[in-house]
Amino acid sequence: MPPAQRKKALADLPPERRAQVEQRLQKLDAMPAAERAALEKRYEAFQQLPAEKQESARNMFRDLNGLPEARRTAVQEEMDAFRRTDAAGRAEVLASPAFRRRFDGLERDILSRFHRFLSDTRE
Amino acid sequence: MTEQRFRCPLQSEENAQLLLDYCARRLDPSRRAALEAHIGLCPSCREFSQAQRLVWEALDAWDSSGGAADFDRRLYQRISEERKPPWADRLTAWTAEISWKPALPAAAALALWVTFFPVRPTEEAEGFERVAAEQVEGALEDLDMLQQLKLNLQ
Repeated sequence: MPPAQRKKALADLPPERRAQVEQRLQKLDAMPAAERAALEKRYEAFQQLPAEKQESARNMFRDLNGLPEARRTAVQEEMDAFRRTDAAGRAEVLASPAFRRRFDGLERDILSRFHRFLSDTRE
Repeated sequence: MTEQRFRCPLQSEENAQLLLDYCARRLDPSRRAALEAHIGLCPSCREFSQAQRLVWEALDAWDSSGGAADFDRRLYQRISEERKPPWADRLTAWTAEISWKPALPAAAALALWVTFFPVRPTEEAEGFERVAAEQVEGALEDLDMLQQLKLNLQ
């Protein structure tokens, strides 16, 4: 689409948010077709969740993105591990002293919410 | 919730979220039914929800024909063009053919009138564009979140 038309449509958003929208659109544009199709299905499924679960996921995502990059990476790696673990295994990890040493309060909270989200939506 | 218990969402800030949630298909069945009853009676809400539906249909169809680039184009066309009043193009063409010199005194009076009595529909149209842009922003954030968090919903 012409840059002028895009600019008009996004004119009401503050510059920082507008830049983020542009960045996200570019990311979608660059995505392979199969990946886009899979994401579309996940988006449809997400829309079917109760509003409070959707909002909870968004808050978790915003909190995660608010972490410094190194800590965000550490939390995301733990999320990957959580995906490969069942609910009982995740609960065990969350209660362990090692987990408390590796993550601070907010990080533990994000991961606890992620554990609940996984438990609510796929198990 | 009944028609008597809530004010028109477009005239009530606290209920505006209700209409946005309806357009985003986030309302539970009972609240959706109540709001649909109101929309049946309220032309403003009907017009708003129809315009918003177009935005959400564009989002739904973002991968269905031509990929994300086409989605991008259609989405922004909807936002920028669907909200333009249908008479705007005709008015623009008509005014271009008129000699305005004899009408200057009347134009000055009109300018005064507009200064003291701003035109509400323009404000509302701007508000709709803002809300639509915010909805698109929210949908894109959801897509980004699903991708980054690798949320596999069943």
